[in-house]
Amino acid sequence: MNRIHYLGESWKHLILILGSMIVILPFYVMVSFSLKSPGQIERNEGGFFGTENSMVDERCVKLREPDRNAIAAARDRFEGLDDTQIYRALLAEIETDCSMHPIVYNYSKAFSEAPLLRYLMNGVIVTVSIFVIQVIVALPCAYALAKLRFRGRGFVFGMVIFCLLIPVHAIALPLYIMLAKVGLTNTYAALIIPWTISVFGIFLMRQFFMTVPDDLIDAARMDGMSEFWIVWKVMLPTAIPALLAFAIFSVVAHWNDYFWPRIVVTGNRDLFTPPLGLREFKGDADGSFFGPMMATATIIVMPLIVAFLLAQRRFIEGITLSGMK
Amino acid sequence: MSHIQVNAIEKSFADTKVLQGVQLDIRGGEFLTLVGPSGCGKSTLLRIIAGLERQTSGDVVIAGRNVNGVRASERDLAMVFQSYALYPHLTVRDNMMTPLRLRDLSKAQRTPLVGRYLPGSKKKLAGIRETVEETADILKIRELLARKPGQLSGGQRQRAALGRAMVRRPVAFLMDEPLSNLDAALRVHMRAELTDLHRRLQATFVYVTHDQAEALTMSSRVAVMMDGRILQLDTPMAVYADPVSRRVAEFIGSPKINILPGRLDSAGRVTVLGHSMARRITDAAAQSVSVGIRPEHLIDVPTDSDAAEYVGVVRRLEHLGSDLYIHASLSDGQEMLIIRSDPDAAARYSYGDPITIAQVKGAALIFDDKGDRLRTAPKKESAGDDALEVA
Ligand SMILES: Nc1ncnc2c1ncn2[C@@H]1O[C@H](COP(=O)(O)OP(=O)(O)OP(=O)(O)O)[C@@H](O)[C@H]1O
Ligand SMILES: [Mg+2]
Repeated sequence: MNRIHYLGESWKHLILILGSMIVILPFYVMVSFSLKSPGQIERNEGGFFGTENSMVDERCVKLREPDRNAIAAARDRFEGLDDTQIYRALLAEIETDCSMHPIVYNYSKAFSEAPLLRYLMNGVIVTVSIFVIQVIVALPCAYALAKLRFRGRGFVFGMVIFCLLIPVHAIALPLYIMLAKVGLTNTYAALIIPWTISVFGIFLMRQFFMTVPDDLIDAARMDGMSEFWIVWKVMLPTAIPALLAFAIFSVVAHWNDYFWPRIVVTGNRDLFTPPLGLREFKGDADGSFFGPMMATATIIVMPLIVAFLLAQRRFIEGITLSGMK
Repeated sequence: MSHIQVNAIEKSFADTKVLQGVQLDIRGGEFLTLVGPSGCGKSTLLRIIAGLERQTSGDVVIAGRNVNGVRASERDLAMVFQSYALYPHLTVRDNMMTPLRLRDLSKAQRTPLVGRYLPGSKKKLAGIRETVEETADILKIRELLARKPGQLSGGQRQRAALGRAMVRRPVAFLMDEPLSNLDAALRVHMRAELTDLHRRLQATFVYVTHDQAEALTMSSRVAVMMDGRILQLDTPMAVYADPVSRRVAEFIGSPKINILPGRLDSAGRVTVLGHSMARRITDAAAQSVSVGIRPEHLIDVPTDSDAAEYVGVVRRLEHLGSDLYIHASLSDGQEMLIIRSDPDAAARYSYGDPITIAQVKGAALIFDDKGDRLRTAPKKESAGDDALEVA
């Protein structure tokens, strides 16, 4: 009896493990690449962490390759050697100078090759602004749709559901044209404004507000709160779990968004969001930039993963909407 | 402490008429209970008085002021809800401070973070804090002030909700089934506490319940409501002993009043299952009537007793400790009777035993075929002996 039970359980776990492996594999590769030297990445060796303790940065060497002047200048130091020998000696010096641990190489390149900090900051500005404005818009809407009785409420809610069905890509072009017409392309506003009204957020919060007892709102009214205060002083605090779930959806979507920033930010690198920053590595001719590229990717996803781990429990509460009794 | 008048209130939700011309005069300082079956519109009426719902027509007048267009918060009423409706994210203290903050502090003083440093806020806040603590002392919840509602038991939440209602010293308290989420023992206890509180505050209480025990034990007056109408408004004893209609008689009283079919002849004599009743109905046409007899007005008597009126078979014994209720089916039909007896009677009867039943003279209530009460002529020898008009 018990054994059969365990057998049944283990099947479930086996399937879940397989599933999670499929999901984790790309992350595994990403993190692993960010730790290894280009040579080991290309030859596909060195396990997860890579085995080389130091590697030579080819580009660094190439850039500092000794020319005639350098050789002439170094003649004093290397007395009795001919030019070729001096050249070799100098090159050896430069190579030791340019060699470092692959991790240091990858991650320092991630920051030095592109203004990654700037991109990260842009990402924070854009995602936080989007989320805050989304909340400012969605909470009163959701409150009205869930708790106020007015003519046409059903219709408005129907429109919200309808808007849920519109894929963003379908309206990207008109949106872009409108933004271009008012001259907003290549601004933060272009990155933020199209996302400030989140029908998903309105829908999610409305569903949550439906579960908030009417008595609570009536009590607040008896206490003398205006509808505006009820939204921010009563509904908002009780909706924290749902809001957290929505925050994760919203922040993940816009932090990782490549499509929209790619459309409205054309050229001004100061406005690049992290995913656009990743492109910096794509164009490289020698193709051996996987290490730094993956390091960049790792840095970009790290804030999300950390935030998720911190908020994991409340996130799941929010999704199941059982956070409040 | 002021009186509330409800004038010809009607309320419709879409097509359904929930309140049909409710007329109610609530005296200042009284404990008025609205009682009625589920769905009869009690909550709706209370919410209209509170200002949370708008009536379709009619007026609400509080202390002489017509409040039809006045917001809930400006009617100076406090409400206690069945679900307590405490703010889940605030401590009991903050819950209780909220209505005072909203009433006493100016908008500027209420702004988060900075508000409390504005001139005057500090003194006002201290005053509010003091009021809250005094109220907490009355309700004996002082040690709970720092807790959040989630950390309280049902009874404690109830007290906190009462506290939030009390701090404002409102002209009247409106309570919508405040005890129905408590367990039986606590409910009985809170009944006593609410009565005490009413005596102490000398405020007007309007109390909604579908529990007739609450209605009968606590109120100064009871309004029996059905189908959006108030059928009777009187003291608990009068509503019990002198109901105006069959529905009121059936609703009030537990176990339910026994109803037997009867016949009224043109002479005003009522005949029930072959027995003529002693007293006559004054001016009423011959018709079929129903006769209501409360369980305590039926007595089981020895088989050979002269008083024996009904003969039945014991179907069920309901032992409540202090009382024994005998459910008997009458041998001449489908009718069931419930008889209150003393617990010792349990030894005398068991399932299927025959039982003879007598009725206390002058205790039956007669209702016509529409369910309205038919008055009987007072008995000559006992006129004025009691006010009950009984057959
Ligand atoms: N917002 C509403 N929309 C439509 N119908 C409503 C609404 N609120 C109440 N009703 C209807 O009005 C009637 C009376 O409701 P109400 O809540 O006043 O009953 P109640 O006497 O308080 O019952 P209970 O004892 O179960 O609380 C019910 O039939 C109910 O379905
Ligand atoms: Mg109700």
